[in-house]
Amino acid sequence: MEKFKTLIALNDEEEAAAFTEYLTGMGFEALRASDGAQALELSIQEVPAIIVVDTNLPVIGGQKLFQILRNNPHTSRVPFLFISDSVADIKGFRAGVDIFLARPLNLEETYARIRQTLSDRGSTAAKVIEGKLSHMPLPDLIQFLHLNRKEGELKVTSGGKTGSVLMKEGNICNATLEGAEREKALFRMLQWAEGGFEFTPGPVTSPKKIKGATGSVLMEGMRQFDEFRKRQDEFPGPKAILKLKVDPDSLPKGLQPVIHEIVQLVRANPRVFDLVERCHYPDYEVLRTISSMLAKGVLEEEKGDEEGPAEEFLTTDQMISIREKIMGRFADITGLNYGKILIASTGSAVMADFLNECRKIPGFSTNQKSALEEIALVNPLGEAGSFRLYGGMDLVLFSIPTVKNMGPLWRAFCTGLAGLILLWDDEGEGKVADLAAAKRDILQKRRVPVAHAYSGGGIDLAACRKELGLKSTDPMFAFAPGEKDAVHGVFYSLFGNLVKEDYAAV
Amino acid sequence: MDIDTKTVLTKKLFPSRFYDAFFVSEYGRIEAARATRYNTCFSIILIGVDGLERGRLLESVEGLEFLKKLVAAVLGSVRSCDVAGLSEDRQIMVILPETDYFGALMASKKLSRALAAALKEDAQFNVLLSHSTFPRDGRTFQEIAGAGARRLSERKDSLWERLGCKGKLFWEIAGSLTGRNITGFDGASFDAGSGQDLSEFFIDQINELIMKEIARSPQRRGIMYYGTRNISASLPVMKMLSTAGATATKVFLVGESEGSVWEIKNAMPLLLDDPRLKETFFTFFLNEDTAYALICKENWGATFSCFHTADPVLVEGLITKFQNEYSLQEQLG
Repeated sequence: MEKFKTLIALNDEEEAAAFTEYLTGMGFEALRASDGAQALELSIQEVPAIIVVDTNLPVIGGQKLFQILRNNPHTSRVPFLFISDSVADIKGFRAGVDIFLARPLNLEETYARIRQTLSDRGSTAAKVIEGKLSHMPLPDLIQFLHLNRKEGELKVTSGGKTGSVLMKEGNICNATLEGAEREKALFRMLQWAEGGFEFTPGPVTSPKKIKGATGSVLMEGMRQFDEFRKRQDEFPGPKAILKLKVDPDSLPKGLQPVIHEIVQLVRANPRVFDLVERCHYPDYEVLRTISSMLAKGVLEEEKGDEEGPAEEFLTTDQMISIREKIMGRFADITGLNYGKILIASTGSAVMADFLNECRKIPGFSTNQKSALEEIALVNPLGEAGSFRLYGGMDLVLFSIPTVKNMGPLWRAFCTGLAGLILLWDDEGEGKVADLAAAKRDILQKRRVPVAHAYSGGGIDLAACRKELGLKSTDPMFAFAPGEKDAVHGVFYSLFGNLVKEDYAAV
Repeated sequence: MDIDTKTVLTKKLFPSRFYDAFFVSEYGRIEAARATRYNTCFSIILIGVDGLERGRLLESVEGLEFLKKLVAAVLGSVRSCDVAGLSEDRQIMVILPETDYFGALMASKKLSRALAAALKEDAQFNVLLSHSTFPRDGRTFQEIAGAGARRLSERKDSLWERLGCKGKLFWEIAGSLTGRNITGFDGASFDAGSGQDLSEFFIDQINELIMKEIARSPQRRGIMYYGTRNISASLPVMKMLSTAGATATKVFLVGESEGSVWEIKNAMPLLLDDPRLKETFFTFFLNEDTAYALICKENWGATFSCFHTADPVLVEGLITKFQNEYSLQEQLG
């Protein structure tokens, strides 16, 4: 770590001594001043990295010292840490640069604040390489950084997307691009011909996730890109729907990990595009594997779905109405870019069935980590899937487990709530009372439309209706695997009520 | 007591700076109109007084003496632009112009400290505070005052008051919350870990959920303390933080460090060496819309006794206690 020079000018000798000792122990070089005049002299002579100052210093006060040094071009960039007994209004205070702390102080916190300010300052000051990909393609740039053993973050932007490549001592440490990381992200970025880049030197502490040597990783990336261009006609189209033809348990052990991952994912993501997006392996590798699995009969392409006319779930007008309704419900519309539909169910099996049916809705994407029963363990929690509404707003299907005592989670995370779906099946019929209690509690906090759906026969519907406080005219939707109309009905009912009813801002 | 007598009385309580209900409500109406016109914000703080029989607060000598002290303490700690007055028989309202949710929260904390210091001899009285903000809680003065009154009554029923947390230390409260079986929608206990309904990963999932909330609304101010045994860059929550863009929520990671933690994006490590953090870990999250606290105590055999709550008063109280006892900066967003 660079040895930063710190000037400490505090009224209390003991406090200053303790502070000096602590900062010296943390690798800082500390200078001491007993009054404002001495602090001014030392600041100009030594130009410290940060000045720690009491607001009411003798001779020249802390605020006066701040104003003098801010006007001096040599010291104008030095951040100040003000320490005071009470809150004070400091003229010219630069939020994000200067720090104000009121006594009593915790030295750990003070040190953390100093570190943060110094590292922020370093990151803004040390941007050394920037340019356009059309002038210097990414592989050349990475090679240049590799040869010069550079360390830092390389940000690459193209077509509204921003990715980053972390370099440690000249080697590629990791790459991220939207949801993707490692080689997958890097190989995608290597294809970019237009856009910009910006390299910011700095220490990289994240673990090395790209294992190979930089040269061979780049070679492999370029090879895969060339191969993809040559063979792309052989691969299934992004809209093609795939189906697993064999039982996953019957597959032999010791197959390549990418095959196992595709087998796991294909049930939740039958569309080739989704499968490629969600698989951790590079795009070419996934497409090549899918192609060979199709050839060997492990996967099968469902004909007809790709070619057929695109089915419309919501029209643009409907999407705009829903979006406006959601935005109108909340006072702070500037920051709201999503609405939530909370799903409460009596069990994870009925939830998984429902989400499986939702996946057939055009424009719906599943978060496989929380949507699939086997991956989400027993209790799905969090985002299970989402719709993209017109205008960049997401409608997120959000799930909270229905095991006992999860009320605080419902209460805390119903920000942006636009609807509630209650699900139960014959196994969970006994827990409908819990669902009803959850519904009452949620509606008490946010008034939102509710849709009720159940799966399985032999359910005493009259008793459920009574428990849930439904009138005989209120709809309850029955859904079963393969009946997509029922799931459509649930959403149409919910959206219809949302648009129709006057749900005032809560 | 008729309205005129009350007006005279309020003038006597603190001449020239303390107003009657009519003035306060008119001022509030004007402030709401001004905030709507100029698209700014303002807040109100309600101070409810409990103690003495109904009606006797304004009619007895001791009640009036208490009110005088209370009003002096209130006016001593608010800004000169703030307007305070007796809005109801047992309720003082302070109008804070140009003050957002977090400003009101800090003002409320400052007032609460000032009142506690000024009124410590008057054990028979109990003072509760609540606050509400334009436009978050409503767009008219009535709506905002109504939200404040509702919150005042909720505060009386809050877990913080019910469990008597006011006079206890932070770890004492944490121990008592994880040591008992609490049920309800505002706060509840649950067990996680091997052999329980919920796996230990569920706790990580909750933390990831909070991080997602922060990342989804990066412009929303808030505060989060994540206390754990060892802070390391490989924790699941760290991954979520490092991939998020810049966020307005202040995230503090509390615990001992394992490797370098200084470069973690969007979070500030607080390296506290406290043996209690080895067996109890916590998450406190507070922003304008969400209040959530999770405290988990590790038992033998990798099982966890957990308590979580969405009660804003309890969450705010836990954060304040934690900050005070570790001499951390008082901040709520």
